[in-house]
Amino acid sequence: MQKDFIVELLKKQIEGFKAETKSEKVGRVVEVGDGIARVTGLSGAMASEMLEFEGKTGQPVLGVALNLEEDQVGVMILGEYEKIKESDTVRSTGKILSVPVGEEMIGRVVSPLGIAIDGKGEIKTEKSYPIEKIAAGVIERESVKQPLQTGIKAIDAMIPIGRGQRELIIGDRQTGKTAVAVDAIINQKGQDVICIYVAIGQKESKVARIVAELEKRDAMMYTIVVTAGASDPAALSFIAPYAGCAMGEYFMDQGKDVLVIYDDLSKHAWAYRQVSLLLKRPPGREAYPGDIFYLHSRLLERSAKLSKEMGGGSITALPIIETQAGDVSAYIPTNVISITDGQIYLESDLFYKGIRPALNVGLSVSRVGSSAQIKAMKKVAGKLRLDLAQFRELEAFAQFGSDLDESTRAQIERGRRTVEILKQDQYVPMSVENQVAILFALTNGYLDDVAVENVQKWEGEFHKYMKDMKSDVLGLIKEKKELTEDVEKALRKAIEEYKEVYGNA
Amino acid sequence: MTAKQYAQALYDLTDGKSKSEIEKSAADFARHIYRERKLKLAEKIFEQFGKIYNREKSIIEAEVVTAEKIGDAMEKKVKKYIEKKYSVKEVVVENIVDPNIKGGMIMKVGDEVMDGSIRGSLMELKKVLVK
Repeated sequence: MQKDFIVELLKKQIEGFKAETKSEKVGRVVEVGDGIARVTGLSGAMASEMLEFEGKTGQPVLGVALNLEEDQVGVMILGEYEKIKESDTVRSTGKILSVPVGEEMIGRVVSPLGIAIDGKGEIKTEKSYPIEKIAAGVIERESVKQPLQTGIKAIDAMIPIGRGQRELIIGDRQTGKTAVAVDAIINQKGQDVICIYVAIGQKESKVARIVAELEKRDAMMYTIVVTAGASDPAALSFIAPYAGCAMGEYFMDQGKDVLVIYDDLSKHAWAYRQVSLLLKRPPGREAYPGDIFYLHSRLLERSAKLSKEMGGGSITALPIIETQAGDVSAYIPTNVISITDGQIYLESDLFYKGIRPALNVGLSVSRVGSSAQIKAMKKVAGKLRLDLAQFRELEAFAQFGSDLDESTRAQIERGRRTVEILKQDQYVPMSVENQVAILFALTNGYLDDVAVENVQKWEGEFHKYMKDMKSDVLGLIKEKKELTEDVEKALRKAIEEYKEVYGNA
Repeated sequence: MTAKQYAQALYDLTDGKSKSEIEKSAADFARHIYRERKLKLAEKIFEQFGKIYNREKSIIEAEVVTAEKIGDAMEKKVKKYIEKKYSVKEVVVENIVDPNIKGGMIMKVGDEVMDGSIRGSLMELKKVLVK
């Protein structure tokens, strides 16, 4: 019975089918190699249109038309170019390259084309967004005013980041750039922020380690990882950040807040340089093509804080740049510094001194973030900045110890404790109320009589005490977001009580 | 000078001339290319010349793939259709016999392909059924 039914159904289907003869424009591969193909014909191809290479076997390989020349099209191949032969047929699809987007992507590890690579099965989404999109205009935007807490004391206090901001993380290799970004993701737990980590040309082992760490800390529940590995073609590295941004834009259009991390844009520039040189575009400074600035500016400009009328969503971008031997005046670093709204500068000298995060407070800035800080934090952070600046000026004299006058010595001592407090281990982001409490204690001199080497222990116990005994004070800071007189009084009282219990040990 | 420019020059030299004149100027042209050490461009010049000639004379080349050799009546029909579609004066049809397409016809003009073959229809049907 079943068989007849199926046959009937099939018959009906086939009867309804009418093959139409339609004409289409096709091209022919004349040259292929290094992830680039040159195709003749295809007179109707559009710039950055998706093309299909029809091999004799299996799935067609995708490509993107990048160079439209007089009688040739230069195509960047996405996928295995080894399958493409000379004189293969190329069809245009009439579509701009796009990636699947949607809630289903959350918690997954995907390739830049949106294909799952975490072995958890196919991702079924109905929506897709083009990877290249013009950024929101002036009318659709709003100024940055909501904080995005990274959970790192030094950053949240002195280089605050707002939702919709673009803050560059820059530093040499092995200075903890990725650690800052991963901590920021972990701290978004329960903050209603969707995180997208885009790994560009990174080692697969590093990505695997990060994903495992995020999973361990329940951070994959709100995170998408987009990865183009070191062994993937340069074309995939090139589109990865745009794909990640498109996935973020979907959530932004839903009125949600998104944090996107591009790790890292130097490798992205290298990938684009490779593709450009193979397409025979003329090389410029450091052999980068002429549009390398636009490459990054159009990507980072897509981070935005949308106005209420547009849903109020935002994309915060944390691009990462790796410098060579601390040279921030190289081509790509200066480009990205000028595009972003500030930079977090990490130094290897500080890192080896044991100051982690190895943040250079003098060179790091945030151009818009201070308007996004909560009032309580603003109040304690202003004093903190001053203390640190004075300390840096006087640090050289520190070795003269006893010859210094009282106030200078006090400033140096305060500075040493400040540096100590700003140290923070990886994977232990701190809530903003705890940050305010400890920084308040520091800037108001409650730590001056604690020995420098005991400061970190003192802090650890302090947070425990506040959590166990004085959670009402923390709650008050969180709720009021301001150090009003009574909040300040309660906080002072709590600190004094703690000092009595704990002593100065 | 590029191959294209040479081809254009060759066309200009020979256009509207008598046979003996063409013979003379073609020989001159060949000598010139030889002297300029551009013989390696010869292949490309021929190709470009063909294109320029066809464009100027409003001739179009079409490739017709059929399962069996095309008949005269059919060829005329095809020619007429292409002449009308591309508004050209003359159509040169090259017939390729490929039993693999099973039936119908595939017409290729420039980079435009019209697939009216049985194989193409079957592929379409396959796509629909898979969906």
